[in-house]
Amino acid sequence: MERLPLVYNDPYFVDREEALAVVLDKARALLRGEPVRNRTTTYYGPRGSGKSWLLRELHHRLQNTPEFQNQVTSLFIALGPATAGVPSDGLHVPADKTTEKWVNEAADLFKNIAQKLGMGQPPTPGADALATYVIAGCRLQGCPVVIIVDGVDEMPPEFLRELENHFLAPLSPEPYVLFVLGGRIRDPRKYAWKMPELRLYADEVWLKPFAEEDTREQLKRLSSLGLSPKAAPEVQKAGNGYPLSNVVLATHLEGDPPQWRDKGAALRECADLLLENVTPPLRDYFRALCVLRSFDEMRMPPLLAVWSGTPAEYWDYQCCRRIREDMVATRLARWGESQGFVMDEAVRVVLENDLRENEPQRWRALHRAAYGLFTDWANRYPTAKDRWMPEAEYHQQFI
Amino acid sequence: MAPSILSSKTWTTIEIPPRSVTADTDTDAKRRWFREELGLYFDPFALLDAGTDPYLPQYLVGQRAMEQLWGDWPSFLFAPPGGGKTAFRVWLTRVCRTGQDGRRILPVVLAPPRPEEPQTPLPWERYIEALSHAIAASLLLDLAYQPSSSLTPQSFPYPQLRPSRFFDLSEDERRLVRLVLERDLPMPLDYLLDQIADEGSLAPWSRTFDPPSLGLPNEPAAESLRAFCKAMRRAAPTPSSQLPERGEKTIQTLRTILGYSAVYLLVDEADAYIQDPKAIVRLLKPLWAKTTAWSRQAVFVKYFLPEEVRSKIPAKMLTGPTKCVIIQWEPETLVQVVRERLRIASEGMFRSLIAISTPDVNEDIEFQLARALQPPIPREMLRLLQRVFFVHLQRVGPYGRLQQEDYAEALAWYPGR
Repeated sequence: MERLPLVYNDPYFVDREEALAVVLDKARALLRGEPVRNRTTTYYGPRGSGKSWLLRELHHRLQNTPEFQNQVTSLFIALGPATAGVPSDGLHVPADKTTEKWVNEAADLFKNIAQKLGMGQPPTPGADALATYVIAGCRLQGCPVVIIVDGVDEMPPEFLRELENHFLAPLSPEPYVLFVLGGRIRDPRKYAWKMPELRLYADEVWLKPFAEEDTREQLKRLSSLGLSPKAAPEVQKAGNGYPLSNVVLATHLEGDPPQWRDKGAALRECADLLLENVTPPLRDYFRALCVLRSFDEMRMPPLLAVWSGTPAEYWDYQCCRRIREDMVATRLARWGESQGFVMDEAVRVVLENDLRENEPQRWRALHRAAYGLFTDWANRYPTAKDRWMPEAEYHQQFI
Repeated sequence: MAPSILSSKTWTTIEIPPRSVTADTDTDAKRRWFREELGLYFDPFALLDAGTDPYLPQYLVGQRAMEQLWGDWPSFLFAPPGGGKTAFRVWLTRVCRTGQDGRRILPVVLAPPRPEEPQTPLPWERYIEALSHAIAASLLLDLAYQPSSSLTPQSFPYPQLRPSRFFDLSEDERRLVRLVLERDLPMPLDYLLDQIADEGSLAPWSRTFDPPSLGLPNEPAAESLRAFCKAMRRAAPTPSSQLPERGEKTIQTLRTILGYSAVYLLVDEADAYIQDPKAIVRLLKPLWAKTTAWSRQAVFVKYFLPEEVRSKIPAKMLTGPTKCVIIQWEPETLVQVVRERLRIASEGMFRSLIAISTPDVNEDIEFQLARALQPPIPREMLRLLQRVFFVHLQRVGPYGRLQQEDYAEALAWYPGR
């Protein structure tokens, strides 16, 4: 796994031009002296969708392309584990502190930002006054300032409250400051962005999986690591085109035309990587629920019962609610529009393919349980038949 | 904490219970139900009056209309009662306070004086009195918010970038500001200073003057506020201090010494005491007469009025530099109102009634509710949702998820209420 390029390396960066243009066009407008209304841009995407790489690429282009070089100030702040690495001129706040330290941690960050903006060493006032230094620092640049914050959802609510209240919100009215935020979900864990400044004047970009030709291009650029662009169709089918899964799966294909060495092992390795930060009991719940297109406390019991071989009554509402909250806290699951909670598609597809390949009977039993549940609901609740019948039909095709 | 409102006539704080049909069941059991079963940390549908809702800025929707309000021009916003007038006023107040686009604008929220007899015009002095109270209350909040007390010339050597507030004023200017506040505030200045010094936050003033202004970004720390109170108390007026006349003269004096680029006069709650559009027009006429002249002095009047008043306003008032916004609510936007409230109340966990409903409820339930509204405005949506919870509490008690029967019964009740 060490040989996989998880840390950003600009020659390997593929696609995402459209997503990059959202911010670069705003920077161009500011350079032309045109006002920009939505000065915040937020990039969302599941684990392995390439958010951190995209933000690093953005920082790289703002610093190195002639149209922006020395005309735009770009500041990079990495929060949490920063698996894509931190640029040499960036700031990093790891997510391994104890709870009570977060307010000080945030104040230290603001002080470092003020210094990066040329404000010298501010004294040690409270976070409220530090915001004044940061605002002044931005104004002193005399040019557009792009503040890139990666991993906003990696941090605890105590830190996010400070970040929003004393940094993002006070700076957001500044006409020459652009914010670029990256995270897996719209609202970070146990914290909802509260300031209208960040919600009403923001563009949201959801990073979709690569199309097959982009996967092919990605593998081509990684050919020095032994990956073959010809593997793209198989990789795409197994992992749905998410950049991280593409790389992991492609290492398990060899020959011309590429053949799986062991498809089951490839999918299991990819699934394990996607769930690497999830503790063992919770991992099982992700696997048990991966056949569902959406879930909530009322849909979970029959599947958890099949998975664990226990009666469905064992999985009561409060128990399922705790599990659901823990799953959402990993940011690998979130509320999905109006149908219920959904697992990240990048994760769900790999988990289900892993299950189908390595434990086909269990996989079928889970679909059977889901089919039984939704058929029962479609019959029992005529007011919601339109909602549950398509779900029953979906699961029926797999049993 | 029960919400409070200000009576524009007496300017005393009065406590009123939330206007909620579920108010009588707002018990520990209901709160526990909300938190532990539904995953809601407060009831996002409890308050019908936007002016008393401290969470309002967090779930505002409809920003396209806002673009028409933010700028140096007079404007009229029309919406039916309960249609979001106050919500838009709250938004505009907030962007002024936070310095949108790097600008420094004093927002003054003016509730027109209460007419004693709807047919009889009020004397101009009554408007001046209301205006003076409103200016002083807004100014005090603005000065205390970001007082920049800890930024000394040594620690912050960028005079052009200092937020020009109370600490940057000369001794004479501070005295003048204090005099204006003492004369025009609706309650004693020292009493108000004690409130924030004791609590170490601006919350007591927000609760008294403008509940939705709670939770402005980057509020000053307790020690900064106490330093502000101390400095304000020290600025004792001398016998020679000259006071500008109330109203326009005071505005211009404050603009000059505090560096406001403009003053936005936000006229709201004209329909608080009278519903007859002609009477509202009569009440507002003295302000209309001043609107153009005030614009030339960078005082821009922004009216937030009921829709029925629009046809009674002379056409020339609504043309030229004036911008006019008519709020019309579509089902999609009303659904957004519900979803944003759920998002904030669940701390970002979910944004749909489906998350707190049983499987017999169809996923278009928010649209079903939105389409039933008469008229289609946020306040009606809140009333209907209050009824849904009320029905559930009556039928089942504070347990379980909302059921199809709760929605069906509330919808059946709604048109014939």
